[in-house]
Amino acid sequence: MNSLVEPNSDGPKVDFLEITADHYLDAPRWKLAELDALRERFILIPHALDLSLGSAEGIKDAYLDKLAALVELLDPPFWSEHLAFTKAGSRELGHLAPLPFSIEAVDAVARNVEFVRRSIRQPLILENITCDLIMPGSHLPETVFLEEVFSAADCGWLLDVTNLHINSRNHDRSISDFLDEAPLERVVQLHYVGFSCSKDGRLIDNHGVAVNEEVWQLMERVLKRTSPKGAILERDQNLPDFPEIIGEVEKARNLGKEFGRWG
Amino acid sequence: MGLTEIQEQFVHLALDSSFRERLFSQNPTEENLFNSLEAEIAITARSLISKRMGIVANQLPLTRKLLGDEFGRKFREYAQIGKEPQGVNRHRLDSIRFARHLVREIRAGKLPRPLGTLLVHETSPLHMWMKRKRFVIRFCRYDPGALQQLVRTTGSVDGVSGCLTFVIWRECRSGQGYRWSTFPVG
Repeated sequence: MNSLVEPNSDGPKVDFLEITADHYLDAPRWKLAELDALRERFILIPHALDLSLGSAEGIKDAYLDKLAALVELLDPPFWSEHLAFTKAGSRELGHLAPLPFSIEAVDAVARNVEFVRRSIRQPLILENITCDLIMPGSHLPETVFLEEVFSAADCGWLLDVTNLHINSRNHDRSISDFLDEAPLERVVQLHYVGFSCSKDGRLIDNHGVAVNEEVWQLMERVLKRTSPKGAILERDQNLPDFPEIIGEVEKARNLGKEFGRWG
Repeated sequence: MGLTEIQEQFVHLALDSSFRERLFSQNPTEENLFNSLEAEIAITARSLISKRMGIVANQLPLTRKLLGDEFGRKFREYAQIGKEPQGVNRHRLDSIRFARHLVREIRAGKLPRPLGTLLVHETSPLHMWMKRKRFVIRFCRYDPGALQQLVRTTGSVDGVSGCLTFVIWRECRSGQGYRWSTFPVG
């Protein structure tokens, strides 16, 4: 925890950054120079999108090799991916898709994570995603599924607070029950950002609006019960003025401090 | 049903509208693992297209501004025809393929000719990224700087005059991406 919280004395009050790993894979020289400039000032946590850790068909070596080179270059305290799949039948979805809450899916993730560990030695944490549907073949409660995955794969949890809120609203599930039953001791890092509402009333995680009050309230409940090393504001669209961004970072920092979570 | 079958059918349903329509037009069958989830699959399929379109719009901002609502219609049309791009550069590839689709529309007289220059201009850095080019030279029918200005201020290319122009794109030494310079011919 403390190793992550080292504010730069001469820079904005940002303790660490998460980079979308995919933006730097197969990247030209000038893009990698950007990475070098960021590394000089911040701890960088690579966040991958397309490893497809839940794929029954396993992991693609080509993507893994590129990702492993990037993680090795950055040498972060940990890196993250999603508890999801993005490929099947040799086709790429181009998006994160949910896994069935099943033992077979647990085994697939554990097998794939073990394979990935042969190339990437730094610890991996897995993020909960939003889902439009509960996959057929699900026979476990989600919280049990999470517990089984984290245990079988020996991974930490990147708990996306916004995704948790969105899923509970879209699928009419109780957050209280979820928090009571989920393996919160596995939480290593948090994600938070605002959500939007579609025309049909569904909540959408589009990373493009200010953090909603509901998310702040859930952040508080989560921070009371977990000990994350840090929280990342996932804003990457419709960016407001920087002070507004920093204000949301500061608010999360203060919220964590209230519960003695970070420095 | 195993995990492999579930994932393969989900991907197939989400990406292929004809397969989706065929499977859901039938009475519920054992073949369809997603029998009761037609609405949810439709949401997923729409989200995938919207996500692709949003990224392509960011990569082709002037084209997006010039076409307005037509951009979305044209993109959905294009997405129905071709296979979804794959790999780390999928979004760049998507923008380049969509630009090619629009060029065919220009040749068919369905879209204004100056859009062709905008497309060449906006896809140049994408090609450079993918092919690791440090610089490229383009020959345009219109001055991209003038076109850019016009589209930004009026959202239109009405009244623009042709002006043969060389455009040199180059990678910046400072690590700030790609820059371009124009050289009018004659």
